[in-house]
Amino acid sequence: MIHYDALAINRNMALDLPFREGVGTITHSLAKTKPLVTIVDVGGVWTTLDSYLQVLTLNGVNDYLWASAADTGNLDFTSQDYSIGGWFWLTPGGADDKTLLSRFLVNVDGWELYHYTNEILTLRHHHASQGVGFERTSCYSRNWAFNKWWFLGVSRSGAGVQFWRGDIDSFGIITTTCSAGGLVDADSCNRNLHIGRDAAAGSNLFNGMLWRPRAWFERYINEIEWQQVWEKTVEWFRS
Amino acid sequence: MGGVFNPYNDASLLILIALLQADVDLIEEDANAIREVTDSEAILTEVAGQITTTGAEQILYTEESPAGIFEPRCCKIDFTNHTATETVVIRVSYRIGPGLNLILQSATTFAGAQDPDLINVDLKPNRYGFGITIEKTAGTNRAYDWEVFYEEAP
Repeated sequence: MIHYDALAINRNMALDLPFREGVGTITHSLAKTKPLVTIVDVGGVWTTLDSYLQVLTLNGVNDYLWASAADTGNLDFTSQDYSIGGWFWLTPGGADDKTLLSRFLVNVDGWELYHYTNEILTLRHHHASQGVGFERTSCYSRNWAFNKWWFLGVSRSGAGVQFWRGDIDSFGIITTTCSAGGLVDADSCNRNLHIGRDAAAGSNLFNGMLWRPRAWFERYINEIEWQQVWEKTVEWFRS
Repeated sequence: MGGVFNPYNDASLLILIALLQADVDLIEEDANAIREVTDSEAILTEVAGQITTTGAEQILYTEESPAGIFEPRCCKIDFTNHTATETVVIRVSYRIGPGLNLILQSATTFAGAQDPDLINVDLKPNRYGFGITIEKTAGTNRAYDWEVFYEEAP
């Protein structure tokens, strides 16, 4: 019997949202820890691709997802290794800063993953404990263009972060640039998880499509593992 | 001069390389075929949650539009909070063609306290979607934990 928890890639999975429901305002994580993920659906988010895969379209105006701080305690990434991945499509327009996932308060605590209109994707930590002027550090990668499906894998260990990128044709490691001195540990954060929005209501909403955001706690997903995830899922986006 | 030859023979080596390449191509074809099978192999997956009844018919769990053939196995519902005064109806519906409605297959009424408390609802293979709903028809609104198992390609 093959089962979810027996797959090596799923060890320490904290969030895994395949969006299989296709209707409604609740979407369920397959990971053993089960945050209640609520979809704030104003624009009609459920979308079916030609491959029949269900994805979410967030309208960049008022659609997003959230889960409570209490339900997402193992996404309180501070000093430990962690990894975040998934497929996304960026649509131009809306906020310049489009948040994919976040669990933070700016300049105080937590982390955020966001895309800026200059096609840079950034993972940023917030750490008020470092003092005024040193409240945040980040790592980023370039050339995340609009209007195409991207596979993202980003893994953090200590001060270092590495991004990997795939599209429907290929997968590979990409240049990752970090703040001088590298990523500083985020301060511990007891805040809600948001997907497609940052910490403030109505702020930096994601405009585009999402499929299967996943997050691992206390685990650095390496290149071979990211490639396996990409290979297992890329066919959905080729038709 | 019979019996004398040069053991280094480019032509012979190229023929051998071509034969090896042909074998490698065959192995790659086999590997790709195996890969297609393993990639599509379903894995046992679980989702779970809790729903509090309201008196309306509520979606307990649904897969509205699966990407392909999959096999929902069962749904377990915890009736621990359900007392002698409550009645709920659990309905299971399937869509059996693209674009069709979800059609009711079973409706089961649970009146009063249940013994044992854990209810099992069997689910059947499906391609176009299924849904499970719960409706309280008498008594107090209660919270019900639930868990659905199914096999589906990752």
